[in-house]
Amino acid sequence: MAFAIVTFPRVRRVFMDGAPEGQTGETIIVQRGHHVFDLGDPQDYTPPSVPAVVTGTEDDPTIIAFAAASVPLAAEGVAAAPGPLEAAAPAKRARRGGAKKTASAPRRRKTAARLRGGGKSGAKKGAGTSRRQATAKRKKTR
Amino acid sequence: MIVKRQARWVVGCSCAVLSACAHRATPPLPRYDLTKGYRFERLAKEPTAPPARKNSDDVFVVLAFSGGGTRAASLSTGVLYELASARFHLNPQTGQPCTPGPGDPGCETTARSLLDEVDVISSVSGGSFAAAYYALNGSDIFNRLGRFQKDFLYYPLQRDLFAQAVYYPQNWRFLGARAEIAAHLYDTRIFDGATYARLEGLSRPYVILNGTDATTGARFEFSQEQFDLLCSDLSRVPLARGVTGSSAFPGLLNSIAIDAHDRTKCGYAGPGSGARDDWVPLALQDKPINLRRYRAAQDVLAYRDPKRTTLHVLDGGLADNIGLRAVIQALASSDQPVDRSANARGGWSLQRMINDRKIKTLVVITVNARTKHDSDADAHAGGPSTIGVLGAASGIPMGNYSTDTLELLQSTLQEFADAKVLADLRIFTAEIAFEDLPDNADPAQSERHFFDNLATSFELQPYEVDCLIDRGERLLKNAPNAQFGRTKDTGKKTFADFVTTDLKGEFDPVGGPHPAACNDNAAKKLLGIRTHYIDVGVEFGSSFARSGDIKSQHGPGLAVRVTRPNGLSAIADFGSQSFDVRGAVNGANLTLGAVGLRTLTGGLAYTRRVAQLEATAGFAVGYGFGHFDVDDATREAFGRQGVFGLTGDATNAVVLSPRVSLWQNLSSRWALGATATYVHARPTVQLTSGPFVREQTVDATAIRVSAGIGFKVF
Repeated sequence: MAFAIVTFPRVRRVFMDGAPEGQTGETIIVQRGHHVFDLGDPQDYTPPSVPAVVTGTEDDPTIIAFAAASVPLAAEGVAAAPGPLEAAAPAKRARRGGAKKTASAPRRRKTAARLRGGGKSGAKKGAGTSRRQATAKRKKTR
Repeated sequence: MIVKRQARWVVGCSCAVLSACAHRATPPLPRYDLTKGYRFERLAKEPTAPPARKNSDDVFVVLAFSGGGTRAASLSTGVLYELASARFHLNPQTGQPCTPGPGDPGCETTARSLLDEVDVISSVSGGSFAAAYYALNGSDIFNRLGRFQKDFLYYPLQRDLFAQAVYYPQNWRFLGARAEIAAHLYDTRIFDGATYARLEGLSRPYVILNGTDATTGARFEFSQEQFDLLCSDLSRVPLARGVTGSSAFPGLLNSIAIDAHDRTKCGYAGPGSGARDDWVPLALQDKPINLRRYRAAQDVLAYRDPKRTTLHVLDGGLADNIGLRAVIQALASSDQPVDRSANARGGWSLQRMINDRKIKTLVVITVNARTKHDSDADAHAGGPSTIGVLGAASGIPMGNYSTDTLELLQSTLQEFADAKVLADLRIFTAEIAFEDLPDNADPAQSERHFFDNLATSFELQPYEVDCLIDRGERLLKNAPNAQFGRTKDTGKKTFADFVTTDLKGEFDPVGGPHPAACNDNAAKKLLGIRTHYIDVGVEFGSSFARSGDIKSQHGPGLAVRVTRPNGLSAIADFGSQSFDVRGAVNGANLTLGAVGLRTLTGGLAYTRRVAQLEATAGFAVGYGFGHFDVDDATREAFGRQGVFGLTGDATNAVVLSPRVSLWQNLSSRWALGATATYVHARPTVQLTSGPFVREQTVDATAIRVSAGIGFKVF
C-alpha cells in the first residue's frame, strides 16, 4: 500500500489509470507502482496527465501536481488525457500544454516545491514526489 | 482375422470417443461492453422485486467460502444462518449504525440483517455451491425442502454422479471429460438451468466462483471481466458450469473447458489490449517494486494469447483454497478495466471504494472448512501409503498456501487499520475454522476431532450436515475479530460483540438444525443412515442339505448389496458353493465327489430400517456354473470295476434363492450381517471314462445361514 496526494487549485475528481479515485487534496491509497493520473473532464488543467511511480508512505506521500490551465486544452486542439502508452513519452504534449516536459524522477524532486504551489510556474512540470522533500526544497529556496 | 480387425476398430473408436474433448461450447462475446454482462458495478445493491432487502455500501460485507465438498457448503450455510439472525439499524444519511428513536431521527425504523448487507461472496469448490445458490435464490437456501438442502446438502450427490457416468450410455462419450457430466447434473438438479444472465438481473451479492487455469496455474474467476479477455460471453454460460469449474478436483472430474474466441473480433479494449487507460503496461514495469501487480499483468496477457483457443479450468483450490485471493486483490489494487466514454468500469475494487469514502464498515469473513485427519503414518517405519503420499502432495501445499493467504489478508487489513486517513473505517474480520471448536482429551468426546475427520466429498450424512450448519453458526457468533492494535479496538472482540456494540444490533433466534452434541460418540448412535449404499460383506456360512443327494458344508462367502435403508433395492451375490455328492458304487454308498456351483444371482429385496438395525427380505434368481471333482475313493471303486481315468463334470443350473437378512450398523461404514438363504439348484453330475458315462441329477437344495461383517463402499 502506498499513499499519494493529487494537488490542484480546486477540488476535483482524480482519475488514476483512467478510473475515478478519490479527490484532489486528500490522501488516497494507491497500489505501489506505476500509475497515470489526470483530472478527467473538463481538461482545464496541465499537464494533461502525470505518470508517476507511487511509493510514498502516509507520512510522506507521493505528490501529484496539476495546475489550472488558462484555456482548456481541448480548446487548443490538444488531445484528451493520454493513455499509459502515450504517457510514457509525454514531453511533446507537455510543451504544447504549456509545460516544458514531464520530469524524470530526480528532476521532479527538484521542482517539487514549485509544483506544490500550484501556480503558473508550478504548472510547468507535473511529477510525483514526496511532500516532505517538497517542503525541504521550498525552505532551501527561501 | 476379421474378428480381430473388427475388435481393433471397436476399441479404437471407443477410445477416440471417450477421450474426445466433448464439452459444451462457450458462446462468443458479440461486443466488448463494460455496461453489459455479469459485473459487480452493474448489479443493483438491493433487489427490485420482493422480498425486499436493504443493502448499502456503508456496511460492506465480503464472504469467502473455502473448498471442502459438502462439508464446506454446510459450514458456509451455517454462517449465512448466523448472518441472517444478526439485525441492526442504519442511518442512511450518515451511513452509521444507529438506534431508532427521537435522539436520531435519521435512523431507519426497520431493522436490516447483516446477511442483506452481504455484497460479495468469493468461493472455491464446495463453497461455490452455497455461494452460487444464495446469489441465485436468496433465502431459499434456508428452506429445508428447497433444492439446495434437499438435492445437495442432504443428498448423496457423489453417488448420483457415479451413477450418471456409469449407467447412462448417453454420458459415456463424456467419460474423457467427466466434469461435463457433473455440470449437467448440477445444472438440472440444483441450479435449474440458470445462466449468468439470470444473475445479472438480480441484486448483490456479487458472486465470484474461482477456478484454476490448468496451464498457468493462475486463478480463473467466472466473471465477465475474465471472459472479456477471451472474447467469450459469460451471460449465456450456465451457472452450474462455473460451479463445476470451481470444484473440478483433478483426477475425479478432470477439467471444465472454456472456449476462447478470436481476440480481434469482439473489439476488446480492456486491460492488456494496449488501448487507452490500460494498466497492464504500467504494471509490467513494477516487477522490482510490486511483484504481485506484475504477475497479475502477466496473467492478463496469458489470457490474450491467440494460441489459447480452449482453456481448461480446474478446481479453484489449486490456486487458492479459501477464496480470499480475489478479496485481497480488491483490497490491494484498483486496477480495473475502464471505458471513459461510457462512464463505466469493470471489476471491483475495495481500495477504490474506500478511497471514495463509500465504505464506513468493512466486514470480511472467511469460512475455512479445512480438516486435519488423524494419521497413524508416524506410528510405524513404513510411512504413508502411496495414496497417502499423493494426498499429502496435494493437501499440504494447499493448506500452507491458505495460511499464507490468511496472513496476507490480515496484513493488508492491518495497513488499512493503520492508515490515519481511514481512522473512521470500522473493520471486522474473522476466520471460521474447526480449530476454534472445543477440544477434549478423549477423541470420542471431542467436537474438534469429529469435524477434523469429516470426509471431503459430496455426500455426508444428515447428522453431519446438521452439525456443520449449527457449529458454523456458533463459530461465527464466537469468532474473535483480528487484533489490529488500534487504541479503540483493544481487547478481544467477538462477532457477537461487534454486532451488539459496533452495529448496535441484536440477534434473532437462529434457524436451522441444532444437534446437542457433535462428536464421535453421538455420531455412533446416529451414523450409518444413508439414503443408498453398497455393502460388500465377507461371511462364513453353513449350508444345510435339504436332500439326501448332498452333504452339509461350511465355508466362507462374499455378498454384495446395493440398498436403501427403507424401500426396494437390488441385491447381487457372487458365491461359490460346494457340496459332497453321495452315490452307490458296487452297492457301496460313498461320496462320489464334490459338486461345485459358482453362482451369480441377482434380484430385489425390501429393506426396513429401525434405528441401527436393518431387515431385508428378497428374492434372487441366477445361474450356477457347475463343476465336479471326483473323490479318490470313487476312482478306486470304479478302478476295481476296470473303469480307469475317470473324469467328472456338472452341468450348469438355474439357482433360485429367496433370503432374509439382518444388518446391524456399527458405524457409518461397518455393519454386522446375518443372512438366511434358501438355495435351490438341480445340476446333473457326469462321470466319464471313455465309453463309460454315468449321469446323476443332484438335488442341491440347501439352506445357507451365514454371518459376517459388511463394509459400505458408498
